Order: sequence, then structure tokens, then C-alpha cells
Amino acid sequence: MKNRQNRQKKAQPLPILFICISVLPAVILTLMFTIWPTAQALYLSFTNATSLGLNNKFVALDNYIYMFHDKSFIQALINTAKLMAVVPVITIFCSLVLAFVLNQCKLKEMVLYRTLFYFPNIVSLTVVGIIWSFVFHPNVGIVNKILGAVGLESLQRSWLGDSKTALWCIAFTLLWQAAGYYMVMHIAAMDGISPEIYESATLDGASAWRKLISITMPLMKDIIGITFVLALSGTINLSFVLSQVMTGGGPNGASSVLLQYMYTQGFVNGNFGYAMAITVFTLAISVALSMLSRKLTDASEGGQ
Amino acid sequence: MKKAISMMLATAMAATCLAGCGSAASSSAAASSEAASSEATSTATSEASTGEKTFENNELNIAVFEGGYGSEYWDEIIKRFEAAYPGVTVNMQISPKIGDIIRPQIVAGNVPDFISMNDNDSTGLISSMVKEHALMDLSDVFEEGGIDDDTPLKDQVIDGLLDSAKCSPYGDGKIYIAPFDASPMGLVYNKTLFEENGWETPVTWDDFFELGEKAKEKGIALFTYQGIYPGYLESMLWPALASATGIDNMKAIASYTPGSLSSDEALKVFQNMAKIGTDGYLMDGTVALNHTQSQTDMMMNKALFIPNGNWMEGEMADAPRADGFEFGLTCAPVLDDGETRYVMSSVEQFEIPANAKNPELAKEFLRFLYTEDSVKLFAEKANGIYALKKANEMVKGIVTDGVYNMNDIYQEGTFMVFGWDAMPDTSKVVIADSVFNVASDVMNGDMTAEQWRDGIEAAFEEIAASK
Repeated sequence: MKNRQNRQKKAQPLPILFICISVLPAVILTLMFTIWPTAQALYLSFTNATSLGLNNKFVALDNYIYMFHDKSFIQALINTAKLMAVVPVITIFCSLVLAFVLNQCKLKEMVLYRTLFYFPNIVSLTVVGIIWSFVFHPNVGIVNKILGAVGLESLQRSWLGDSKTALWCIAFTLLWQAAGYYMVMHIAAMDGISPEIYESATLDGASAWRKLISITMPLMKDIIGITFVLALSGTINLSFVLSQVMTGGGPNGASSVLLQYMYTQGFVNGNFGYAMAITVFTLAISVALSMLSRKLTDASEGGQ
Repeated sequence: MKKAISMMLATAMAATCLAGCGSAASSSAAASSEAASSEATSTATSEASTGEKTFENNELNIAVFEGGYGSEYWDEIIKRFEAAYPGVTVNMQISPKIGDIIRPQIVAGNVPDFISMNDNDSTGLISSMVKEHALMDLSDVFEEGGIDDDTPLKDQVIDGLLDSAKCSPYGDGKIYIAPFDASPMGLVYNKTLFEENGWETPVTWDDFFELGEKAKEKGIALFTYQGIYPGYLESMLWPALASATGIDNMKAIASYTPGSLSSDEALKVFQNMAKIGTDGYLMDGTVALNHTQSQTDMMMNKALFIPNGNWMEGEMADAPRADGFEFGLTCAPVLDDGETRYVMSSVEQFEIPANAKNPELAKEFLRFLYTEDSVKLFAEKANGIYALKKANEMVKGIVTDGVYNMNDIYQEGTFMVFGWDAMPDTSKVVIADSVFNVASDVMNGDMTAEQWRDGIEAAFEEIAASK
């Protein structure tokens, strides 16, 4: 007993060996399942590997050069860029408003709403895609039926089959699916803001909107930055599943996205090398964007 | 509360463990095989006295795609093979994702002796193996007679199949891919609806559109297709092109020859396809539907025809349908009355990898699959028909009426298959997408038939340039 107390009192050297041993499994797993495959992908992107990769030839930057002459790739890139420009911003904004309403209005049914809004996240994304492809169904879909019922027949269209709307239908589904998830994160962060600040704002006669803009958002800048990065990478990843299920990338590639084109090249066409080049490119974009948005949040914080 | 949480965690962990082993099902035969195989190998030579064919290595590893045909046929045929060749053990891996399962095995040098794969292998394994020259030349198997029939196997297989790019992907006359079943494809229609209205199935494109006018009066569209999966249009486009430009030209198309679509006849086919959309013969909303939605609409008599194959009966077994619906299948229309009509067929396939460990036994197994016993078993267990000339006669009364009726299409038209040649290593064109993805734009009128045709020609040029 006495011995232990003594030990605690003394300033101890760090148990370096113990820390190393404890960290080792995580390091090994990361190396095996993240770093090594990423390095492999990078290497393969410089080869003409097929999905078997038996006789890979080194082709240097050919895959990357071809990429920018490849109409299908450029179309997928533009579509992905459109989604990334629109979906994360709107998703985060909607989830923030939802979180604020649930948090501030002290509704009796708050738990019910929180569950309802979160619900789309429990459902498999493929199921979400199928549900929404029936919502947008040209003949029996609820969207066209409602438009017909209120006398807006002129707006009815085959939503997923029209090159002008297909991508935005996917964007809307992404929004519906993701908003509840970020809402829960935002609610958690909002609970950490002292109610006194809101109380004094109310005494000063601030409207709910003003409170959201001037209190909640500045105080949650950090978490908003993080959820925004999550929403960015979520958009890249999840748009693939929805596009595959809802439109098959069509019509004529109008709703194809980068990862979908990667899948087609890798698994349908057997061009693993080229598919990996597309993957590396996508990875570079998402890393760059994440870093940029972190920079922006940090910078604005510093400015205050 | 704590208890509940720990229970949840435990369940979650159990679930992940289970998820890990849910991927591949192994046949019951495989379980006991490991022990048996080593014994079998040592006794193999001593069995020569029984008069049966014997093999140095008595262990056969097969990998089978599990699709609509299920696994019952395979379980049973393996039992019969093992019974017919005492001492032989067959280990089967069967899964709908078989390509993804055996790819790492092949890369690691653990190559299966025999593969059965579906027609449009979505894992890209077979196309990669073709590119890598990793398949074994099976020509010798087809030169020999079958086990129960002395006719050389190449003469038992339906004409026009073995010399197609599908079975002979390098165009050198050597067979690398052996045919499994043959499922006719074409335009599926409701026989009852046609009988009630006294309509005949159309032969020429003119008949086709004339029928469209009649159907319009009844409020039925002439045609629909699997909207977001426009690849199904192949069962209409390729036979129509074969009729219009000649079956020999199909080889030129399959080998991406620039100019193979430049004729006026070819253009007329594309124009007629486009006319379906632009002149209002296409069911409303078709381009936005998926395969199940469009097929259901067709079975509810909202459209007369949909391009598909004889598996549609099984695929849509639980789907709602119009009263008295009865499956019929007819050929794609032709330009002029006298032209040969073609029936494109979907052919699933068998392969033996070039570095299989036991090619001799694999070849024997392949021969065994082409016996009458096996053909009948396949009809009984899987409702499918082997790609053998005699198969149609053998399966009468065994397969369902729908499948048998749809096979009548071979009375109307000549058998054909269409499969692209091996793509040159350096080319990255996704040819099926180049041909079919534009269909929605063509049907919407955003793109003309000429632009459609020229786009495919441009893809051919690009592929030719990279050869």
C-alpha cells in the first residue's frame, strides 16, 4: 500500500515500452488495412492491371492522361462536383435548423421527431434508393400524382429518366437521408451551449432566427466544420449507391458519379489500373476539399 | 441498463462474426473431402483394373455462379459424377458472388479446375481472364465424341455458337469458353392479349408500327424496355441488325470493326428503334423505370412488347399480371419480308483455367455435363435448357410450359449469339455503355439515330486505334 502511494507521488518517466505495445495492434491494423491497400491502389494506378493483375505493365501516367480525354469520366466528374457543391451545404444547413428547432422549442414530441428524422439512417441505403425510385416513378409515383392533383400537370415528368432532373433527384434523396444524422450530432453539440446565453438573448428581444445566426452557429463552428467534412465525403460515397440503384447512372450518364464510373471500369470492363487511377483522383479531391474546409473554419475562428 | 448495453454489444459482436462467414456456401461434399482426397490420390492408380477412366489426381475443385438456376442441379450432378467415377471427390464453391470469391484465390495461385459463370459476369473475372490469356484451350474436348453419344461434341452443340466470339474470344477458331444453357431472347408478349384482339405478331418493322397504331386505339403502348438498364435492348438490336446487315457482319461488329455499321440498312434499324420513342410508341415514363417496374407494367398489359429472355417467367413469378396472361416470345422485326429472322440467345458458360491443377478431370467433368442424364436433370432441377441440339427434345414435359412455349421462337428464327471480342489491353472503352446508354436520349428525341450510330462507330474507331 505504502509503496504504491509513494510511486504515485513521484514524477514518473513515461512507460514508453508499454505505450508502444498498446499502440502496436492499432498501427499494424492501420498499416495492413488502410495504408498498404492505399499504396497498392496508387501503384496499380500506374499500370494497366486487369482485375486479376497477373501481367501488369507499368504505363506511367497514361491512365491519368487518358482520364481527361474520357468523356464519361469528365461527365461523372462534373456530376460529382455538382453534388458536392450543393448537397453538403444544404444538408448541414437543414440539419442545423432542425436541430435548433428541436432544441429550442421544447416540443413535447421532441423525442418522436428526433427518432423520425434519424430514421432514414437506420434503413439500408439501397432500400432508401428503391423507396425514392418509387416516389419519383413516372406513372404511379407520389410526386407526379400530387402535381396532377393540384393541377400542375405541366410539371409532371419522368423524374429519373430526364437528364435535367435525374441528378437532382439523387441530390434530394441524399439530403433526406443525411439531414437527420447530422441533426443528431448538432443537437448533441447544442446541448453543450449554456442556456443562460439564450435566456439573456431572449431578454434583449432577439428573435429565434437571430439566436440561430448569432449564438448557435458561431459557438458551434468547430462541430459544423467537422460535420461539413463528413457530409462532403458522405456525398462522394453515398451518391454511388443511390445512383446505381435509382438511375443506373443514366439517362446516358446524366447522373453517373465518379465512384460509379470507377466500378464500371474496374468490375465490368476489368480495367483495374484505370479504375485505381480514378480512385486515387477521387481520394485526392476529397482530401484536398477536407483540408480546405478545415482551413476555412480555422481561419474564420482566428479572425474573431 | 448496463446489462442491456452489454447484451447489445455482445449481439453486435456475434453478428459481425456471423456476417464474416455468410459469403460463400460450400457443398456438403466439400466438408468431408479434405480427408478423403489424400486417400483417393494414393489409390487412384490401383483402380485401373476396373476399366473405368482413372486419373492421377482425383480431386476436382469447381466454382459455380449461383443465379436463377439455384444450386440443386449442381449438388445432384456432383453426386452422380462421384458415383460414376469412384474415388473422385468434387469440391464445390457456389455463390452469386463467385467471381469476387475466386479472384483472390486465382491471384494467389489457388486456381479452381472448373468455373461455371453467368452470361454477363458482373465481376469482370472472365473478361479479365480472357485478356490475360488465362483460360485453357478446350478445342480437343469438342473434337471428341460425348460420353453417351459418339457424335463429336462440336456437332452436338447448337450451330453458330462455338465459332462465335462468345466461345472463341480470340477469333482463331479455338474454343476457350464452353456453352452451358441457351436461353432464347426476343420480344416478350402476352399471348392471350394477342388472341383476344386477333393480332398477329409482327414480322417487318412496318407490321410492327402498324400493330402499334392498333394498340394505341386500345390505350396500350406498343413497346417498353427496362429504362435505366437499357442493355436489355440488345435482344432486339443485335438480331435486327443481323437480319438487316447479314449474320457475317455481326462478326465484324463484335470485333469492333469501324464501318461495320455504316450501311444504310444498319442506319434504318437505328432509325426504327428511334422511331419507337419519337413517334409515341414507347410506354410513358419508360426511360425512368427499372427492370422490375417496366416488366410489371408490360405484364399488366400497359405495353405489348418488352425485350427479354425466357427467364422472365421465373424472374416475375410473384409479380401481378393481367388476367390470363400467357408468355410468348417473338423475334425482332426485319426490314423486308424475305430476310432471315434471328433469335439471340443468352449462353451461360463453363471455363477451365489455363493453370488448373487437374485439367484432365475437369475436361471429363465437362463431358459428363453434356450427357443426356445431365441435360434432363438440369431441366428438372433448374427449368433450363442446355445449348445442345438434342436438348429441346429431351426436356419436353420436364420444363414449365412458359419456358417450353418461349422456346418455340426457334421455329420462327435462326439461332444466334452475340458476344464482344476480347477488348485490346490498352482500351478503356466500356462498349456496352457506348452502345446502349444513349438509348434514353434517342427515345426522348434529344439525339438522332445518326448520332447514335456515329457514336458507336466512334467507339469502334477508338478501340481500333488502340489495337
